[in-house]
Amino acid sequence: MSLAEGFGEHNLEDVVNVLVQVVEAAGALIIFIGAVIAFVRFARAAVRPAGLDPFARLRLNLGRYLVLGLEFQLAADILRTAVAPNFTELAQLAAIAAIRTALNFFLGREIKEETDLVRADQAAGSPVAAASAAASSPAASSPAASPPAASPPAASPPADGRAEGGGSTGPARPPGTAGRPPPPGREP
Amino acid sequence: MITAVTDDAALIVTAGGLLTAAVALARTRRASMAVALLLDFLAAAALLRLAVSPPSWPAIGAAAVVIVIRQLASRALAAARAVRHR
Repeated sequence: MSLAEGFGEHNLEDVVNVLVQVVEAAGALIIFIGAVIAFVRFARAAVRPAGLDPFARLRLNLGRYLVLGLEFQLAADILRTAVAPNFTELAQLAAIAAIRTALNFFLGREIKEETDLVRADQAAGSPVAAASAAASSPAASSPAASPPAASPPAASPPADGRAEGGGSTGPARPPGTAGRPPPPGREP
Repeated sequence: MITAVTDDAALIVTAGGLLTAAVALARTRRASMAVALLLDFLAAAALLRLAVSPPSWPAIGAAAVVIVIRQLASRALAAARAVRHR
């Protein structure tokens, strides 16, 4: 008895169907868990006073879970093509695979764009989020309590070897003038 | 059995998405953020509904419509945000 006779087509179909169910259930579970985690994080972000940034991060996290679940479901689609018996099932499979592939592509692109935006907002100090945070905490909006907006850049020592600020005799230089040459009246 | 589970899961995700979008709109007063969140949750629900075998043509069509709407809205929101950032 050959291997093909012993392990018939129906047995192969059963095995592949079980594998498809397992892989597809894993994908669905990942998507569901991602949605639940996103909802819980959203609830925490909604309760705590925060700016707009947590919502963008929440979208990013949910998108990552969707992409991971889609990868599993695409794997199940590929497995299913091994045992699709008729044209209707093949057409449905092609439609689902096209939908999942397109969504996977667009989600990946959106995650990249959103990540770049979040990084740009963080680099720029996120004025919208800062305004929202300032509005939510009145103590932080007072000038005494607010941290300095930007520290002056580290000054390089002057070319003549004097210490920055000119010692204790002259007035301190205003911020932002550290790299400039000293005024003419203070030259020796 | 699996169909019932995925249908229930899709319903839960849809309800969570509606709640999330409503609270996000109330908190941030930004409709674009609320719509983007709602569309992400709806896409997750559509993917859960597709994870049944054998899938039906109405489920495939509904998922396609959700994803096309999601894509159009996402493009429009991104364009609006780019204009606002300028």
